[in-house]
Amino acid sequence: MNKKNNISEILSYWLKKIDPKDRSAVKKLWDEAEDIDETDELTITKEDKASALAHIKNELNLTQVDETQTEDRDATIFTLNWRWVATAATILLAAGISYLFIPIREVAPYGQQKTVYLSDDTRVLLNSGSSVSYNRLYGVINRSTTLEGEAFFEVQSGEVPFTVETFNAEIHVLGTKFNVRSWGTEPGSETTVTLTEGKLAFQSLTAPGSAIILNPGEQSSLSLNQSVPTEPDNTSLENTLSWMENRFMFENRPLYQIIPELERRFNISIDVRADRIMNDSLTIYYSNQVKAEEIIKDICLSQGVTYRAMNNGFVIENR
Amino acid sequence: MESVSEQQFSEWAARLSRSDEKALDELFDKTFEVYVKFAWRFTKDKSSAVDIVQNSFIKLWQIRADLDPSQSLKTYIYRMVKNNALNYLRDNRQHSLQVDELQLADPDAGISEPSEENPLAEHLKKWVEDLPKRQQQVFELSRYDGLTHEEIAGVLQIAPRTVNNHMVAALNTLKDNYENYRQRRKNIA
Repeated sequence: MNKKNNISEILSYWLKKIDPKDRSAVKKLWDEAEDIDETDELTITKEDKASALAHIKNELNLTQVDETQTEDRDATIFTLNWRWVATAATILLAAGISYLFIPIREVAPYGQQKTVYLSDDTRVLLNSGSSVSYNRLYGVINRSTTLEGEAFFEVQSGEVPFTVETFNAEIHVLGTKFNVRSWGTEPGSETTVTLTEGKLAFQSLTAPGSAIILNPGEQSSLSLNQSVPTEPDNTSLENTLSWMENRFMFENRPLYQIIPELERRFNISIDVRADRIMNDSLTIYYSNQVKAEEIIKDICLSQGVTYRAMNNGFVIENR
Repeated sequence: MESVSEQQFSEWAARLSRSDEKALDELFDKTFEVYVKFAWRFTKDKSSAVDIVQNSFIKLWQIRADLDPSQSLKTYIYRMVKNNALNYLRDNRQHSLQVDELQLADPDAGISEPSEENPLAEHLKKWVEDLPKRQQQVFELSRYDGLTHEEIAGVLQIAPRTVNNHMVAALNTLKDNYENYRQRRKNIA
């Protein structure tokens, strides 16, 4: 069945539903419409198609069947000489090595958490909207990870140091449990590390050598304009780790941090049209049963503003 | 662009669920363009349309074992592409808003005069754009993608009867516009 037949069949279906006196006008428009499909200006080349297919195959770890290459190999198979073999081997080696350094990235979508097990059984629990990346040599010659967002790490003991890199800081451990909160995209963005077990070193990416050592129960932060993390401070572990049980415990936290956290955790968008409230700090506690609207309602009540629901989220505005 | 039969789609679906990579290749080869054009109608941008379709194919392979043989694969992929496109628009709302604002700031931008060559086609384009969103989607899926009313119902997840209502309303509006336009031309002449 070709497209032309298909289209005229469809037209005849619709014409039956149209008042007989209007049919000829509709038929004329239908034919005319053939010329106005803007997507005709959109040209998809062979190369576009090939690169899309390659991307799909690569993403799915499927082998790509490239017929032209197969033919070439058949033609040249008897003229192979060692120079070519050596060249090919070098290219393969280079490709292999760069493959090893292509990072693997795990993401927890908005509204969800995700547990990632690394090859040494180290466990990473990602908060909503966070990601952790590591390369294919993880556990062999390094234990390097990169974090965007917030995660709780339970690092297995090992001889190779385990590191977490964030947008501005680096954390070194051997085998410990700790939480890292590092939203590089937030205003006043900082990396905050909280240790629950073991020992770790926390330092700036730009000024290594001025590391802070944390003991269990202690917390330290590094903001963008600092080169040395803050002195370790005893903190409430329960508050810091509340996200892991889907609870909301914000102690004296500015709204410019709370609002994005709610967006990520509930997978909603919150449009604040009352900017003045964003720098205010709040202390709020909720169980894991709470609905987004309940928290937003309370925030509005405390700030003297109002809110309304919209498609996929809320608008907060002045009364 | 050639049209692919429903039987062909169900054959691919059966082979996909058996993890037949060849089926993925054939499906991709025959349908990629159609789906990119469909995605483009949402994003109006080639590279995002290609990305959206790429990701839909990746997803399709990942869920191949769960494909329901009684459901049309063709409309299933349309639906994935549509949902991915809407997610894309949602995530990039900020960006497209800015583009809109830019266009608003310049009153001449984005308004194209009907060309002399084919004034009716140019007017028709405007009339289609001015249809309510749902009617426009139904019209485009029917006229450009050549989908039957039942397939459109599957893509948009609405009842076939509702598709009929949207399409008949769209065709009647377009016809009224056309008749007004003809009347005006006559008066000028």
